Amino acid sequence: MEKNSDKKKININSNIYTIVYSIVIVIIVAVLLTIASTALKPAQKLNIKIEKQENILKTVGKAKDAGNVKDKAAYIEQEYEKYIVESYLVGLNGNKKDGDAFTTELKAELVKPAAERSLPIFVCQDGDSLRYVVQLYGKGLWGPIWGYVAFKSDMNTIVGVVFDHEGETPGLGAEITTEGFQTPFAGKQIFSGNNLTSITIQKPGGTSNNHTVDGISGGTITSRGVQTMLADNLKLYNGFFNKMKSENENKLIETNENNTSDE
Amino acid sequence: MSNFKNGLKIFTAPFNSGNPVTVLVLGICSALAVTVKLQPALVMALSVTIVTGFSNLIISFLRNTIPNSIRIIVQLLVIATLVILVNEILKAYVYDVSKQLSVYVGLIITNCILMGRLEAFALGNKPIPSFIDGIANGMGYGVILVVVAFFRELFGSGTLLGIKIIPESWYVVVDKSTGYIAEGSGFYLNNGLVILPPMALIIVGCIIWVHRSINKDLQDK
Repeated sequence: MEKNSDKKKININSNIYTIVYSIVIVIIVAVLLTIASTALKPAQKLNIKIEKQENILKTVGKAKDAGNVKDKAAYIEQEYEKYIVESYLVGLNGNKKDGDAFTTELKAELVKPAAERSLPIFVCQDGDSLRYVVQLYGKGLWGPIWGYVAFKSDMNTIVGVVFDHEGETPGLGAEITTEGFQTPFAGKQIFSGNNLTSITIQKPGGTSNNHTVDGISGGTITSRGVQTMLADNLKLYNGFFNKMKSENENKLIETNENNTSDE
Repeated sequence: MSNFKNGLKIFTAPFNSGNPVTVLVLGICSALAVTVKLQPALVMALSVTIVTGFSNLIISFLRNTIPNSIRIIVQLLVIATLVILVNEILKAYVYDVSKQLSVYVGLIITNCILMGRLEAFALGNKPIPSFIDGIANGMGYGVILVVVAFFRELFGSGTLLGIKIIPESWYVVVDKSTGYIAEGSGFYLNNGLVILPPMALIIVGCIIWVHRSINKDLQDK
């Protein structure tokens, strides 16, 4: 205070001072935030990429040591290279489309007209068998939720799931990210006969069958969001599922024929 | 020495007669939102402490230059900048923690304690006392948050910091085939009500009650 009085007095409440002051302070803040954002962007992008790779690997039960290794990013990348042998985009009819599956945003695809949508598929080689990982995107209670589901090559039995969310309530809806919620999905089936039934999330404690999984008490709306997300997204993949199934059947017939001719 | 005493007084006030949550009743909204589990409450307390401390410091440095008519906007600008910086840094270097906090880091901007302390203290005091006041108020807020979260996680989920506290054998098990409580199972169930926000308000109310019965000066005549 005392120091200020020595200087030439400026009326800090005049209009010109106020305008200049606000312009200057906004410019300073803008520059500061731009620098911070630009400098941190590569690290943030890498985190997002690694997270996506980790999620895909988790659905097929890989990359389990991610929490224990020192250089998580390198570990995940290496595992991803090792297990994910192929990734491609498919249309609603199940035919392959051009483009990079990994960088395709499902969220952006879902707002396109149905015929133009490209759906990402990640193929994982696990020993002798192939696993097919599909991507999901939907709405929770407060914001978007998304996930990945891995199927056996029968395109029916779930190998594993991973769900994630932006802002569901901690302790309630956010529990969809826990193993307690996700593990029971393994082994469940999405088809009954030839109909796509998807998975029903039910009130915990009820009788369960092949197509039901227990929801989260207190997280009803998020649980319901997961159910809707599964139903909606799997419906889009139905073309791909059917195509793969008929291919499998053809293969089966061929092998059977080969077998009979051998005998 | 008097400087030190003064600083100590500024530092201790938010823990007792000047507590932002129980006495000034600020920041109640986030006290309800992030106290379901202990861990987000702890990180939230830490983030708020950092932001209150530094926004108080910066505003106190600027206090003689800020035009009166736009002072609230300037305060908001400083708070928002700090919060965005914290958020960006968390996202780049501790991605897992930033994901757990999700929207709550952004919500620090709307925490009334920040604006309250800037208006009430930083605008009229020197930088160092302002900084102490900010840190102490953040911690005073954090203490209440942690106490509420402690009760809510313990009675709502039976855990603390994600570690099981209430033994599994105490829990009532329902026999799925009969629909009745299984024989030989426990006697305990998690209280679902504690997880819901209204219960946080009741716990905060209880803390205020206890606080006022200890500190008689706070009681309304």
